[in-house]
Amino acid sequence: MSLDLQIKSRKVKNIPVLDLEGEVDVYTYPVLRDALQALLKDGQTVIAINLENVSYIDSTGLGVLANSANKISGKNGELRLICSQPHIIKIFTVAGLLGRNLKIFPGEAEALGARKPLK
Amino acid sequence: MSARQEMTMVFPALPDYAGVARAALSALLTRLRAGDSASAELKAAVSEACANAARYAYAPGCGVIEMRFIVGRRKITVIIADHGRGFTVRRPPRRPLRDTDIHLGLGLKLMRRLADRAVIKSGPEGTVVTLSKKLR
Repeated sequence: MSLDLQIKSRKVKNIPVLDLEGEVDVYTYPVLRDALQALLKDGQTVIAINLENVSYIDSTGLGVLANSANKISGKNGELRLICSQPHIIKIFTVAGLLGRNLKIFPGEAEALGARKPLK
Repeated sequence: MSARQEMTMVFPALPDYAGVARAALSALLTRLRAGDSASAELKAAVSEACANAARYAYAPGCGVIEMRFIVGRRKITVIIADHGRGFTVRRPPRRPLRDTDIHLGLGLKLMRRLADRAVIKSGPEGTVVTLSKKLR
């Protein structure tokens, strides 16, 4: 179990992918916020975020994602979350944040190909 | 585990400790052989309570959070208490972290929906959040 958050950035099919590992909470969220802000500043409107190695995300992390999704909503952009972990998906579902600009896909291929999201 | 057992921990009301509180609860739930789903949901709810106390209760670094675990045969209750400024439960303070749009409302929503039972009492002498969950 990691109490920290590490993020690695890469590009696939010209879409930036952030691979997260650890926990996203009130302590670690600035790491995610900064990574997303850099991509938004760079003009990216479609961003994939891999949550497969995230063991926990709290309302602060959800807020960072929702905030970023709002910022690109006017540019026809979206955040594509990659996650197949039921307990993480449940937090997003309960929070009611998923929608037009923030979607969860079961795998990277689905997210980058923009196939039908899980939620 | 035999009938009712209790454990209490006190830690600084700082964001750094939300993960520590979660780790302690995780260890206890593993020992109690709680189900995966129940464990994940209770950890998330408890973490929200701790995070809210760390964010809103005190001036930074100026208070403590008390977390009490009460373990019964079939359920666990976690009481998270602070002695900070409190808030009106119906109208939580809209004082978001400067760089996010998230606020206390979402944390309260997660607590209420992820715990089997959530009781939140807040006033000028502090906030007490009581969260219960069946173990499996």
